[in-house]
Amino acid sequence: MSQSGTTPAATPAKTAVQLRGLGELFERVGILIVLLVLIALITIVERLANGTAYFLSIENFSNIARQIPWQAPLALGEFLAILTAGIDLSVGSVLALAMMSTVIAAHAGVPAIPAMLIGLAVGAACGAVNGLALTRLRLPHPFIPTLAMVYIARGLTNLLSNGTPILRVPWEFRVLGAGNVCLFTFECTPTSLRIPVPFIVVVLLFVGFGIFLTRTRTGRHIYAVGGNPQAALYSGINVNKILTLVYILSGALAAVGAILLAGRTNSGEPQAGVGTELVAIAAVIIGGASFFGGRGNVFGVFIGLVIMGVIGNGLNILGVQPFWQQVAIGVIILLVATLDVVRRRTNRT
Amino acid sequence: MLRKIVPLLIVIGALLLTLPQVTHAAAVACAKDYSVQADDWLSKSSEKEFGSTTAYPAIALATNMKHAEDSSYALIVDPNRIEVGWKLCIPSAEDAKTLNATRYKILMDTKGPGSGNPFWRKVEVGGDDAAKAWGVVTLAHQAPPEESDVQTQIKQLEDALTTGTQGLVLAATDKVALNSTLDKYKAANVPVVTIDSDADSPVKLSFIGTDNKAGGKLQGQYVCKLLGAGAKVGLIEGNLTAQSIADRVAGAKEGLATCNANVVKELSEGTHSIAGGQKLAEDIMTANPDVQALIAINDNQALGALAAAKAAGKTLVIIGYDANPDAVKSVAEGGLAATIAQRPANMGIFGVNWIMVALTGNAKEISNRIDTGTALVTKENAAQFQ
Repeated sequence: MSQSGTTPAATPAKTAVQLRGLGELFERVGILIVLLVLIALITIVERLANGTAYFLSIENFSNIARQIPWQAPLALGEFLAILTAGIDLSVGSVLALAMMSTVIAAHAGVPAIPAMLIGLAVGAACGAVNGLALTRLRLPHPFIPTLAMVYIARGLTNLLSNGTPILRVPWEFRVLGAGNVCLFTFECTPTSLRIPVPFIVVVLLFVGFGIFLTRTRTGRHIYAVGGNPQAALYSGINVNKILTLVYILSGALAAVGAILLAGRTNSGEPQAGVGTELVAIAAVIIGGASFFGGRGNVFGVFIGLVIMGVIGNGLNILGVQPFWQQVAIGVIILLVATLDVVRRRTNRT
Repeated sequence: MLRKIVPLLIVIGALLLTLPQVTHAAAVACAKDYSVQADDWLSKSSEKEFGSTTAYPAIALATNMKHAEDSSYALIVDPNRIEVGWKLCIPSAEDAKTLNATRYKILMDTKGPGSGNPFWRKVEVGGDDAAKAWGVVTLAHQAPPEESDVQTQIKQLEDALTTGTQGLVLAATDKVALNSTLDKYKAANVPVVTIDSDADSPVKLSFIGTDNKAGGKLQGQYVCKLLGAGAKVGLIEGNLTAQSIADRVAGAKEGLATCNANVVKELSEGTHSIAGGQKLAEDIMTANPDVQALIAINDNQALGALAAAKAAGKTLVIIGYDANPDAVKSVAEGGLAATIAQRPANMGIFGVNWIMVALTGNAKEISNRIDTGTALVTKENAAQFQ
């Protein structure tokens, strides 16, 4: 997006188009370079080690485009929390609760769209609890209420489902979570280029939030609260209101992920989203957001997410032994984050 | 002062030491013996002797306690099953009342239902049925929220011991990590049997479960039968540090080796979920477009793989494990090629039954490996597993 590295609240939007030189250009596209290098590396290793070229194929890219989307809204919600110097540990559990609620509602005969709205409401409610616990109970850090929500939401999910998955969801879910749009042809043929519907949904969501964060007053207030809460307070921003809103949005976004995943897997699963909060956090950090708040943009988060997706998919395609995969993912996260720090440090001088 | 207290303490200590023996192997006297006739049930004898069909647990308990000292008396493993010619011990009405008033507090610690697998529901229901059959068992259920959450299971086991649990039926989340916890059960003289997932501990009296390797072999052999020699197969694996999962994978490979099938790819994910199976299947199909069959370590993964194959417009031989209702339905409809049926209810039933055998003083009668059985479920026989 247009204002990485600076606090949008402090800079008028129009000046953002001007570049302050090569350094800033690099900062904007740097994360993209990391992604391209990663893709090139996996492609080369696959060619040398296995003699195949499946990773760099259109099928595999539409493969990745199907695997990423359900995690994307969670990363977006996580980004909002981290933008305010907070964190939301509960996105994975809230996803499971929203998924179970919406699928159970659909099975009870609620039409698909209202069932989805129920899921969204459940997600937003969890977020509201997080936000209000933070601002009204004045818990010292969002780590605490969202950690509590990890257990509450997962437990409620198991209570609702009795611990067993529920198969089959209405077709509206299937279209959103597993549908395809075929380019250049009216009907889908096996050879036509398929764009997964959930991927389109996610792109729209990211563009929408990009505009919201940089072009609306509330959006800029979110940056301001994260950048300097004291200053934000003195300049008349209702910090508590903004924080509560951020966690409600994060919860609702987790529910969007839940709807996409329910459609993709054609089920409601109590185990869904276990550990996904870590993927979301990793994507946000790789994407260049600062843990201290106020810095980062949705484009970076999106690329961060793609990087996480490419790592998992690439290691699978290479056939790396599962235990080594865990090690590799950790090392790559460390490398990419370090690279990002070095990149920023060079820019500053 | 001190001189008075020390002997007192010794006496109290000695009394405390005798306590476990009192509760476990109370000498029981038979008012009379009874030889089982055709069409007999314990409840029938109970009605005849005590005027109530529900007083039968006392007969089972008394017979087993007697068996411990005199093996001419029968050993009742399942109160629902007695055989002609068995010698039963009928206690006096007064003793029967005491025996029936005793409560045996047993904990069943499984890996569900939080694990999202209907399999564990069946294990628990089996355990409840057995507890009901014994009449004197208070069966508590616990499980860590995730199949791989070893620490929570350890905590549950330790807490259970402090709250006076007398017997443990355990599905171990880890082969060895629970050993020192189980040692505490040994020290407290609380019998332990493992079900489904074994613990590598000398404390457990028996491992009651599916021969997972045999089930895996059925998976592999069925692929061989359908696709013949040289079949290209992808394996979807799970948490390989769990013995049951490792055995399934080893068995599948063994089965595939019988026709020299090619394992073109092995991937694993720890959530054992539909979403997990779906992602791995997508990656396998991308990296190995010529793959013909997928073998998963459970039904959730297999159903996910089926969704992935459908989305990719491919028809693959996909085989699950566990015979969950949805998977069996899919097999019947021609979706999954097969799944492996275990007898989860048997694990629950056998687990409680053998713990009761131990609690009535007959621990030495328990075999250290009890098989609950496996069966291949295909389209032809799916109806009988639904």
